[in-house]
Amino acid sequence: MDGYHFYFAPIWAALPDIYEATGVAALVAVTSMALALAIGTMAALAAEYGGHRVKVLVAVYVEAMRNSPSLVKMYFIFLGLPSLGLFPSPFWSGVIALALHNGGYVTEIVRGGLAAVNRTEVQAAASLGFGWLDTQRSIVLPQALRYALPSLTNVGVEIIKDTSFTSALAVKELFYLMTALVSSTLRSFEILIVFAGIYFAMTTLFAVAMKLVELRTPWR
Amino acid sequence: MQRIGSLVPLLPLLVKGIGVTLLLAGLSIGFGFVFGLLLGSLYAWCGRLVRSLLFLLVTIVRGVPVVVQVFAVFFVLPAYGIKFSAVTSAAIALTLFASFTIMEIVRGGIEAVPRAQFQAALSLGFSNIGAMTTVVLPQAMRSMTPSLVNQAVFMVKATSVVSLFGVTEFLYVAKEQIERTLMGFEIMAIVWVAYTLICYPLTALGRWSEARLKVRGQTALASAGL
Amino acid sequence: MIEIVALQKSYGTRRIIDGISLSVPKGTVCGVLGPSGSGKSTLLRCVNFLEPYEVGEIRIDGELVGYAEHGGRSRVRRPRREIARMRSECSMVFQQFNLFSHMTALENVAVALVKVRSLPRTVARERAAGLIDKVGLSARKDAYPAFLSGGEQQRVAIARALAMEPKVLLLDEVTSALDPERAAEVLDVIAALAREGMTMIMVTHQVHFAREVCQNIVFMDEGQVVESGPPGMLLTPSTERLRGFLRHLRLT
Repeated sequence: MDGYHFYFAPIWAALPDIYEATGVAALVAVTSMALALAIGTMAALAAEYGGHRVKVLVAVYVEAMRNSPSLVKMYFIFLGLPSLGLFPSPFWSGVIALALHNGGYVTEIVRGGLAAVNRTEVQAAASLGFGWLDTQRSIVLPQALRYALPSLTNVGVEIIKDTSFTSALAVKELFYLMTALVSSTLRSFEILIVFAGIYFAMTTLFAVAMKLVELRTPWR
Repeated sequence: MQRIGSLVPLLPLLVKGIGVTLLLAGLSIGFGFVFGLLLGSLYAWCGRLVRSLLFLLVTIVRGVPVVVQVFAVFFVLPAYGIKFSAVTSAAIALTLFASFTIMEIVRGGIEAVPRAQFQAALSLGFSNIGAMTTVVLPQAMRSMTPSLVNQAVFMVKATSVVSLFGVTEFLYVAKEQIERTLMGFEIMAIVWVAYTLICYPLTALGRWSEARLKVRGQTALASAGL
Repeated sequence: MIEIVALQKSYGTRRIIDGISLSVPKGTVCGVLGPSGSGKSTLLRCVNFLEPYEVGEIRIDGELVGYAEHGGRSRVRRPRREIARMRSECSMVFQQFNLFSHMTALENVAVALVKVRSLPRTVARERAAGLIDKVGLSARKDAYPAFLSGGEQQRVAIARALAMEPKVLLLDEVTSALDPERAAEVLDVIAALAREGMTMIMVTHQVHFAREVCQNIVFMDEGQVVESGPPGMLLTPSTERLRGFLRHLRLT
């Protein structure tokens, strides 16, 4: 019974492993976030400016992502693609699954952000001779993404938390290490506190950092 | 893909798995709603101390992965001698998670109702509880509905987490069959489609109720859906 | 400089511009007056092809706006790059300023030079600073639009349009959203430009100002030119329509 006697020694011993696992989790998170943002933004632009068929395609994509858990996509990629001759690594299976899954949410969020940009600024750019790509890059997207930032931050937090799913694919990240340590040391309570604390620190730091970015935009 | 016929005998097993999934989802949503309502009302009512405690708990629940929370119920409680079956532990963990997230939704909904409504009820002679139940909560409900529906969808998807703990819900059963038949592509495709078929009506319902809310001129509290 | 011949434009079944011909010689200012809905703004937006037109021709310095030089019945639109190029030579200032809200005043003026004309940033910023000084806003060049008054925003918008060194400046009711004091700041800038010989087409409600600054005035109603001529015509209108319009302004 470790009610009174907290025994953290095995955790100190495992510190280098914890370091590494945190790094892996962070890498998975950051890579997935970047990919999800890229996928979602492109899909949102496609839905805004593409024809009817493109809009339908994007809608199908979004619905296919929103209505199933990210674990399903992970298993699909890791266990399913080999039947087609593709053998993605556990890391990339997890990252691509998270990127595709959350890309669906990002698409909807960025569309909301695009809608919030004044159409008149687009006309002003056109009257100055801007082409479509330049208009998007310099005028529309900077504002759209800034408007979308709070919601995007939420998606980022979810991604950080969902990195724990990749343990199912044997990616050596935090949750994987957590279960391994518990089975080897049986110090479930202490381990729970430490690892929950690490996750909590990661999500909170990320949210605070994003909030700072939000607040520091000088143009409101 | 030609061997898809060999999967037919698996269907009853998968359906049983879906049953467990829906059971867990239903329990966590149902109890989560009740507890969430209670907690949310508590928050709106009580003093700073209780509110700070609740705020802390919610922040932790939202900042820590669901897997870790399920882990807590599965491995930490037994250390104190409390032992439940796998399914029950899963239900407890998911319900706790749902309760706190729903508490936030309820809190937001209650705070969105103008304070004047509550005061008007009081001035008519309603008790605190009466004012809450007759005037505030019904109005809060309407603006909460989209968020609640979104949360329900989220819980259905969240049940997949407990597959990592050996609970025989849909995803676990599917994985078992993949290990047996090695038809990962076909089975996972079925799983994907099945989840989509289950959740899509709910997400559509959520979007519809959100649109209806905007028409009625009330602020929709649902975010882009999590 | 600008030749408009038998222009027609419709939105669906509504004929917005119904056979307009107009000529704006280089270095002159043409004022376009008329009641709301007469098609004035649409006319302007056809000149830089923000709105396409169906019938007729618009030529700037001999170049046909929007369509390839083919002659013949079926017209083919110019490639987008050419349309963009022609637009950059024919800058427009809008009623609602339309400044880019995420950039400072200086950056607003400089951005098109960098993105459209591919100038290096330092050169662009220098030129932009010069133009901002010209419109009298050096002190506010690092401010964001949200923090500028309407008149200041509009002056920045004019500087932004001038940065492209356009052949023509199109002004679409640029003072209508401003109170009289702010409007005066902007009108001063426009008058200075007119003195320098900038070719301009100005849609405006400021009849007095138009009289001062324009060499030619066009009065439009329901998509057609009702009367056109030197500013003096405003004192002695020939048509009843124009007379009625001016009556509201109590011009002596």
